[in-house]
Amino acid sequence: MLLLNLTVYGFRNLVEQTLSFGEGLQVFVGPNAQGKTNLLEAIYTLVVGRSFRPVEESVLVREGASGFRLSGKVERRAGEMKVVLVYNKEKRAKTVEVNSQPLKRIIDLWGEAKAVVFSPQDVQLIKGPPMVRRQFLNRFLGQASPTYRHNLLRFSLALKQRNAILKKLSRGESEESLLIWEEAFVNFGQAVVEERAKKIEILAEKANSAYEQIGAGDQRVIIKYRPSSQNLARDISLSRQKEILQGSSLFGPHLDELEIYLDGKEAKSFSSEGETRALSLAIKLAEWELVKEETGEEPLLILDDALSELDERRQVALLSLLSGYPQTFLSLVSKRFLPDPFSSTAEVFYVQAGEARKSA
Amino acid sequence: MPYSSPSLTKLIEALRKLPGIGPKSAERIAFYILKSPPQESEALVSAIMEARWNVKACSICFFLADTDPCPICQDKARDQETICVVEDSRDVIAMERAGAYKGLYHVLGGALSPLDGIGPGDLRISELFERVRQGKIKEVILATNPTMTGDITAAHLAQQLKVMGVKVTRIAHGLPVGTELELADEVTLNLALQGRREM
Repeated sequence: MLLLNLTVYGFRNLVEQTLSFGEGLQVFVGPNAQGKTNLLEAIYTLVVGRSFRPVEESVLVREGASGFRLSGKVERRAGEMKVVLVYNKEKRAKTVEVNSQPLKRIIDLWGEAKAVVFSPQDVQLIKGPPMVRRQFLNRFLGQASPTYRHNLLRFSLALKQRNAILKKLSRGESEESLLIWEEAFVNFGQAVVEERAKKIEILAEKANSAYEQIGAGDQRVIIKYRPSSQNLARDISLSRQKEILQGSSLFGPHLDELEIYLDGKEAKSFSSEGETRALSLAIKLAEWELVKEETGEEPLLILDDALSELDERRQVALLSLLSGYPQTFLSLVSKRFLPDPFSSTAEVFYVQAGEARKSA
Repeated sequence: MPYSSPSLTKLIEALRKLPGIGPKSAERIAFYILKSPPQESEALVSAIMEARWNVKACSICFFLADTDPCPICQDKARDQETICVVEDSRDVIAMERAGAYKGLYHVLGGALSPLDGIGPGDLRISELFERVRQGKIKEVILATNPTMTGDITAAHLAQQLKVMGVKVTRIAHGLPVGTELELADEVTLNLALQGRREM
């Protein structure tokens, strides 16, 4: 997939502008706080429907603007498409159109366009709470598989409904539709767990080879899936009283966890800063491969500040690897991080005060 | 709101309560009403009042109509042995517009959603079971929406209807007419396959 152009309006500190992009490395260069990451964020938000930073939509709106509007033309296997994403601050409403057709839900955009992002915050993927890893799983598998999107959506609805029933029961009221909702909860939940188990195994393999490719080291990367329940139907029937007492569902994919190991040691507690960054980057590159294999579409690759903490040898290793992708968006503090031959083949944009200018 | 006329403010506030009408639309409609001839306003008011007094839910199927029972329930030419269960009166109108169904209806008045406080007791489910128990009905077609709550409601009804010895069917979901297979998404295709029939 290629993003051919991007028009931003009212987004973060960015001034209204239209940029056109080519294949290969697309590099945003500039000092801090000028808008490099905001441009990457605009690209990601346009393609995936939400920011990769954990923020409310209203924060993305430029000061004084009533909302933001992102649009762009995307070239993909299934043909060119024009995506328009609009956020209205007053209505707190986000709408997205593909080729002038409004989509019913933002999540439907995942079926149309794909992107994988790596940012400094991704160390949270290794060191952060389980929720970060579950969000990663859902976003990644949701882009890889429409069946997963469907099952996850239905599971989440069934979970909310079931919790509402459990709360009702905990107040001593009765509710005869519990069993029928539970059946949906179990079936869709089990489907989510099965697909996670299958795909995480492949992800782990790919992450292991990506870790070596980026020159991080020869430690073995192991990712283990830890579902909160091996048998959802059995576990909820055994702990019904406890669940009613607490008024919430204590088992299910909404409580699953991933364990990540480097050479047998759990990375969450033991990996160094450099290892953590390399590890999260390797997982993102593995995600890219997997989404491509599952959908036949090569996602956009977006890397925020990925080079600055690497030594020169690893920078070159990573840049060579990135040059092999159809289109990669990269932010750099200075062009000196872009040695020859990359500086001559990449398209470089200088970013200053919210505006990007293509270098001649 | 900074309007000079309290009557205008009242009108706008009343319009704002309607579904899908925000403050701007309410304002636009109010000004349109004020600009158009008074007869039009009178016609609108009487249309609203007339509908309000005359339209009521049919005591058999709960479809909205001017008469009770509704024209559909009164029509003896329709198949009296089949009931099509829908969530809303608007679904009856859609089915009737399509014109292919000649049986009776039953409007549930929504779908099961504990989250919104809607349990089986809040829908016209016992009324449906009562109609089936009277013995004339041979088939119940479950035509609730293919959403999570619609599917669950259908599953709930099916479970109980089956023990009453009546044939229970669910309307098919699948490919929209005119769609090419390669353009259909995986989920829809899978559903279409699950619901395939012999030819």
